[in-house]
Amino acid sequence: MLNCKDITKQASNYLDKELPYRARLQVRLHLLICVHCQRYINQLRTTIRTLGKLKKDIPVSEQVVDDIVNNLRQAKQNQEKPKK
Amino acid sequence: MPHRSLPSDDELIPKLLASDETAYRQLVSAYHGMMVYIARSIVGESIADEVAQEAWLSVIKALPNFERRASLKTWIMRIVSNTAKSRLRHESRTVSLEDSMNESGDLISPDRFDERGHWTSPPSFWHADTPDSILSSSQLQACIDNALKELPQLQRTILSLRDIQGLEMDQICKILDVSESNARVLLHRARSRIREAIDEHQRNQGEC
Repeated sequence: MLNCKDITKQASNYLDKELPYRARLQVRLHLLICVHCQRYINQLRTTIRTLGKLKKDIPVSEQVVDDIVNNLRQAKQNQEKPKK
Repeated sequence: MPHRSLPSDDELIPKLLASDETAYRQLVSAYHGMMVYIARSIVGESIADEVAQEAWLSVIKALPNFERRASLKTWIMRIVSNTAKSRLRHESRTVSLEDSMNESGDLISPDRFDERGHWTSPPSFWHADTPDSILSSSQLQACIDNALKELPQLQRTILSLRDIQGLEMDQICKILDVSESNARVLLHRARSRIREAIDEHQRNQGEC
């Protein structure tokens, strides 16, 4: 039988559905009888969903794209120059 | 999966090899943001742009030897991750996985459990218990940002790529060159730390 400490250690793998069937069942059985661990699991799930809502994109300006493309073109030209 | 505004790898790679400027532009527009993001989570804000630019040069240089064992995107992200890691090494800061794995294994203070492993100090009630209510508090958002910044580098990178950017775990393992079992341990530690930051804020009425 798993205890609460075990549940906190396996919580991410449980939420990510990475536990094998038997281990998953054991977590479920514990959650049926333990409100504290239910709360812990719910809070971890909310944490993951909150992270999923944080800002994702780093905007890239046209100017930055131009600069990088120019650098790449130049590097490529240098690379292709025959060595003396 | 390629970026949605990009042609397939099959179409794109020959054009890049032929120095087609439109192809360069498409590639940079599609992936530079993500590259800066990865660099930032490894080396920090101040030199992330520089690292990403350096990685682009390596990408173009190495492209003729690209063996296509992974997608172009994963390969490029791996180059930026390696560039960032070697930059950190130059600054003699620790980056090895071993260091990160040796951090204390206790996710929650052991004195919150009794000798049988049951809670003595169970998780507290959260007033803000949905992502929207959590993020509507700028103070709480600042606590999360701080906790993210304070995570060990590899934990932060894995958490950012998995939970913020939504990349698949196997892709993350290829980009960062870590095993899936280690990555899962580090991901759980990182999530636990962020949960704790939210918890502290809610228990201490605004402090974190």
